[in-house]
Amino acid sequence: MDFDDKEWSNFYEKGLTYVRSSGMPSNNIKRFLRTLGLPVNAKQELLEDAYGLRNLIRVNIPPIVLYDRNYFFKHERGIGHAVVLVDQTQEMFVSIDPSFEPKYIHKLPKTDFEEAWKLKGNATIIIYPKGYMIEERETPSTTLMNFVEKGGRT
Amino acid sequence: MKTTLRVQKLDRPELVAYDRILKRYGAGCYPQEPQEREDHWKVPIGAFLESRIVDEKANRERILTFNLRNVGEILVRKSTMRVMTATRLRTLGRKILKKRAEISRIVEQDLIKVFGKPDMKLRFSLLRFSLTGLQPIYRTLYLLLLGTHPSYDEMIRVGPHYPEQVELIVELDYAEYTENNMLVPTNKLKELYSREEGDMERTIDIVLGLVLSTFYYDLRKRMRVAQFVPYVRASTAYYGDAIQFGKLISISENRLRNNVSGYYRGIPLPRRVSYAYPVMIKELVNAKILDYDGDYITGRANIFEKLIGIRNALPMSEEPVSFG
Repeated sequence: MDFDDKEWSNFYEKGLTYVRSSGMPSNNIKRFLRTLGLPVNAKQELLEDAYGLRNLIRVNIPPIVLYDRNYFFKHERGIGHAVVLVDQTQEMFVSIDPSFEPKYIHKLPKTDFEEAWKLKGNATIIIYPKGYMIEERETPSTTLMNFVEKGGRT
Repeated sequence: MKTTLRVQKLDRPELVAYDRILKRYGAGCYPQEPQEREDHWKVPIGAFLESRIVDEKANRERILTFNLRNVGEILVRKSTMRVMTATRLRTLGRKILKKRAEISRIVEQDLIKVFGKPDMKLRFSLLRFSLTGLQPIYRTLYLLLLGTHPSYDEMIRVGPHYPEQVELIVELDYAEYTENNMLVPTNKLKELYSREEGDMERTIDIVLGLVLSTFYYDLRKRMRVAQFVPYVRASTAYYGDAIQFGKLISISENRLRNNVSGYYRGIPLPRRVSYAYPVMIKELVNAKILDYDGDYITGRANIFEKLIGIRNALPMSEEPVSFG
């Protein structure tokens, strides 16, 4: 693929402006994808846990995850940061993180990442081809609380 | 192809707010503690604001995060768990800018206070362009120190702004009107003059510094004397960054200019700034407010020491990340 091609200049110019001006709200991603005219859908979900991420990577849909990078590095709450997860190993998620230019690939230990991701509500942006079906199954976010309230009965 | 995802149910007000925040405002915002109301929850929004400071000579970069609280709010209805109202993105952006402006105002106010300290030995009379606006004060002080006593009538003949500015020296007790409306120096001015061993320029510098530090906002807003405003803004933009960085930094002229427009976003720069910036910087260096570090611009340690205390008052969320 020729990234110096003219059609990509629109992507670089417009896409980067969107990201810079907005801190990347997911609505803007949708709007931007629409201007590109690609056959893809986008949605933002607050996933229940990291199994969802693993499933997505397994079916070749690289999720964009929002995590608290300050917390990840220094255990202090801070600004949200978005990266694309492209692969996984037993212990690590492999991410593409443009802020580490020129070395984009950054490996995130799963346990630390999950903690930092949870601080941002397990927020994930999924961009997937229109032919795919992503079914959501809602789980109450206070499961444990209900469980305790009911005296340990499910 | 079909995949099933287990997603959280939006059954808590902070989750509803969070979903909304990430969709509309971006990941820099976060929900604060929800507040209970009769039929709804109120979830205030805070924002993390990134600030990048670069020391160009040392090629080091620091990223700081400001934690700005209460920049917006989202109301979530209890019965349906739906968003009733939410601050619009535009309003949120404006509020964030306003909070940021408050931060630069803290630096500006403290810097102006430093201008009034005689031990700083700043040379305001070398800020040539700014003096065009403060001519009445400069001239009057000069005349008083030479032993000439101008009368009120003479001054009003030049224009109404003239006695208006002279009034500022009178308020600071460096001059007073006699019964026949002649302006004479007070003992305070004479003492200052003798303490400075008859150095007229130095005496004038001290009084000018005091006038600026006491009446800066008065001069700018009420009397519309704006010639020295770009100087104050350039100094604020430099020292504001240095304070955030934690030590004196060396930056290029272009970066300083960008800093000024960043600090005073939305406020147009005077036309002179676009073509006479090098001259302005040179004048600030002559006045001992800034300094040159080779091709770069740096600050003065004595001013920086007086300002570094502000660092604790800034709403920084954590110690900065350094690169380079």
